[in-house]
Amino acid sequence: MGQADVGRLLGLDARLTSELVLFFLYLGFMALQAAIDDPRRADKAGAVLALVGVVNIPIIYFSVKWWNTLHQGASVSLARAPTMATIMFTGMIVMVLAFWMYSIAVSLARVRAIILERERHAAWAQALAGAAA
Amino acid sequence: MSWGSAAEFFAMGGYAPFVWGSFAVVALCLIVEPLVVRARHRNALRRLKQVQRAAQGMQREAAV
Repeated sequence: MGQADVGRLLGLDARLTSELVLFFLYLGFMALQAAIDDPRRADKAGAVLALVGVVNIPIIYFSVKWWNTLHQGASVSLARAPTMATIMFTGMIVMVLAFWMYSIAVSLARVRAIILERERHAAWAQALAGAAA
Repeated sequence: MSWGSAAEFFAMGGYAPFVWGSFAVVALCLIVEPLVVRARHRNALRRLKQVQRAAQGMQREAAV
């Protein structure tokens, strides 16, 4: 049994492994934010961790080029026609756009709630609550 | 990719638990997360109104 077989059995795919690291970064970010009581200090600590974590993004992107594991290379690129069947490509693009829009909408909704929680002493927030009452 | 019948489609070539399980998890997340965010927003507004009412009450007491 060669090294590649062991890798396949353990699921040690370059893309999957680098995404597992991203998952741990998310868990670490959430744990760090929850562990600090002062929200401003928690935000600063979380921001530093997020900046460090961004390093992982290009690693994930290039992982299929840098390491030759089971994962296929890029099927879609801006420079050439996609090597996928058209119906699969169309479906993928539609779902990518849909999930992007969903995550942007939910992020903005979360930011609205957080702003409202933190700025509750500001005049505009008081006016908003008065208008909604 | 093509399927001969509806049963074949739902069987997903023997991988039905994985495929439909993934769909179910994603659907659950897409339903639950907006509800959680909306509850948080409403909570923030409610707390804001409580603070406001308390402040108005204090002002009235001070005026009397």
